[in-house]
Amino acid sequence: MSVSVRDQILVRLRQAPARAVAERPPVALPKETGLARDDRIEAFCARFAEQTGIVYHRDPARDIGETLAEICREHGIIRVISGFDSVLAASGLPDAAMGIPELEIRTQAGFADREEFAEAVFAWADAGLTGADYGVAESGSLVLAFDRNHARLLSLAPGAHIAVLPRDRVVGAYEQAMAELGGAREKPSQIAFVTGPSMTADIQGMPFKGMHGPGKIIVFLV
Amino acid sequence: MKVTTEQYRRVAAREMADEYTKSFLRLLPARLAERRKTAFTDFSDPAAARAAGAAIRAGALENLPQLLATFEKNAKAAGARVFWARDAAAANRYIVDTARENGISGVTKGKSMITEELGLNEALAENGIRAWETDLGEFITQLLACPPFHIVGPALNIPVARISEIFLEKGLISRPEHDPVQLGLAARRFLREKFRHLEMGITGVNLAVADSGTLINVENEGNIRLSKSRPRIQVAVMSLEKVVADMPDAMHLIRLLCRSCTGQQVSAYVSMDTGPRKDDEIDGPEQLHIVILDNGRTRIYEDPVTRQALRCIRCGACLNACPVYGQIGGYPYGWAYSGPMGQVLSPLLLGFARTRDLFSACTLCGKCRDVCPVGIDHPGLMLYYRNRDAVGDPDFRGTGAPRPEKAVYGAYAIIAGHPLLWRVFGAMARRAINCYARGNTIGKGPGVLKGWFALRDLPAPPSRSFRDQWKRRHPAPHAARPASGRKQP
Repeated sequence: MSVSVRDQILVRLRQAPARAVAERPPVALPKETGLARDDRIEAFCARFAEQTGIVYHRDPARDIGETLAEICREHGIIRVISGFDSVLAASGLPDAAMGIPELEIRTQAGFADREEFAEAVFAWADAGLTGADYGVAESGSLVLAFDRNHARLLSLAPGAHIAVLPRDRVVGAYEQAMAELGGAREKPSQIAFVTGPSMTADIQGMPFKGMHGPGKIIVFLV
Repeated sequence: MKVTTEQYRRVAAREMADEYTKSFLRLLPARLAERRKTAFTDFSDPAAARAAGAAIRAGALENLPQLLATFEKNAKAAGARVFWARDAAAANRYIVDTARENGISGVTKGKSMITEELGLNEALAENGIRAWETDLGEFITQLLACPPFHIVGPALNIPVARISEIFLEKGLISRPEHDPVQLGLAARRFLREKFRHLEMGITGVNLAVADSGTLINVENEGNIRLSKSRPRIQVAVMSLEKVVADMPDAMHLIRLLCRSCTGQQVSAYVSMDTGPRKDDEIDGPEQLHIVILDNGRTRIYEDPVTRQALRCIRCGACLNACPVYGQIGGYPYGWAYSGPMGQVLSPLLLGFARTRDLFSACTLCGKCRDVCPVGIDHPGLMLYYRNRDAVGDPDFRGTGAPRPEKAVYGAYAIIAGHPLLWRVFGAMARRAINCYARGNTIGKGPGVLKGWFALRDLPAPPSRSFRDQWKRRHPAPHAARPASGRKQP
């Protein structure tokens, strides 16, 4: 058999003359890595809000299901499709909101196949509800790691995304979140940083939210 | 897409006469440059951050064969299929075959320069497969069949009236609409139906991470995430230089890329795929195809001078800094890559015969180099291209300088090498040039010099040369000096 294209390419690259590379100057991690926990959370919230993200803080004295219902009411959300990832489950959601009459909640586990699920997130749901694995203070980003309990389209196809973020999961820099996720035994097939709603400014530089993904993104800090 | 790089002069002249383009160019590049500058203040040392970006990309290129092999191994271990394509035809054939084998009649595309380089949309169309560009700007330029005006916003310059017209014609709206937001939402509604039933999505790749086999895409609209998450089949096309060693390197480059591109700290979405979805996931692709494209890049790599062009991360900062781009906009560059980025890449990818005007149309001011987050020396490369072209280097399909030009410089070399000839020539040239002087400046010249003087003035040379004047002022010491000079130790 003749030499494969792959091998031809690699051989040519290997035979090319080497060049010296300038030494890499040390670059400090973003200053948010040096912040104390509460300052870090504050920085995260400020950045997230700059991108028109909306933040709610959990009041431990109140039922979490009731609070979620209130958030949904405020934003005209009735139909919710929820993941059942570990972060969400630890918060008590979506179970705690299941009985609330004004909300219609379905979990992704209830769908038989991908087509049925896709139809629901595109055409039925007002919002997707998920956990967020990390919040990153340097840019106000959510880090979402997708798996069997956390579908990708939940935070993408419906018009709004509600993410539950534990306060102790707010880190300073991307590297910290990625190191934690990279160390896991089973690596997620996809990870996404989400920073504010979907946006564009492609017509005349006029910015607007909700181009293809959600126009509204809500973080519920617990 | 159609290559029109050889029409650079004609299109540039047309664009410079276009009032609409001019008014637009007065605002856009400056605004983006300002946003970039502000965003870089987040770094405790912006210069060090850029130097680190240069070192990361240069280091990745020096280890390119190892990194590519490692990337392939890890991506395959995660379940991806990897196809190595020598050229555009091979890449397009693989993608068309993949679509056919899976019975696909329509695909969506995330914004990607590489698939424009491939001419993928045309290849798909020839095989009866409809490709929808889904980035709003790309979608508009696709409907209008016009090249990208700017890498960040390919349709930023298109007047709303024209967008309204084409949306009406294609049935996206039912009556004229001049509100950019409403036009954007009309495109959303239209493309959402494509996503909703999507079976195959095609995207480019911003970065590939060797030690985990991960692909990274950076975007604001969500169209790339949708193209990767909804369908059963995902095709990611990457040129072979996209790979970096590890995730920390990738994270630093993302910080640089987003700030350099739109002045954002980070774009709305950064998505990172390691293999296709797992069997128990309800969405995400069942097949992930990664096409690693050469298309002339090994040759670019083999020359240690041009290798640095492969560092480019397509941020577009150089466009906003360039005084030439600021006058003519993106259309004259005639292909997927415009501005200094295109002036550096297109000649290497297309050969000099079709791109000579691109690297000639540079003032060598160096502003592009100063803002480049990965340390590319654009002016240095363009000088190198001019040199390779003048000597007729076959590797670059250089044709050599035109014969009259060669003759002129040949004669000049002889004259400049002989003091007597030089003095005679100097005296004659001085007299000849000064025939065209008006006061102290010369504003026009004869014959072939007309073009040179069209945009420049030359100060008139004085009637006597420096040597003459020196001799007159210092007659005696001048004669004695060489002798005394030799006596010194």
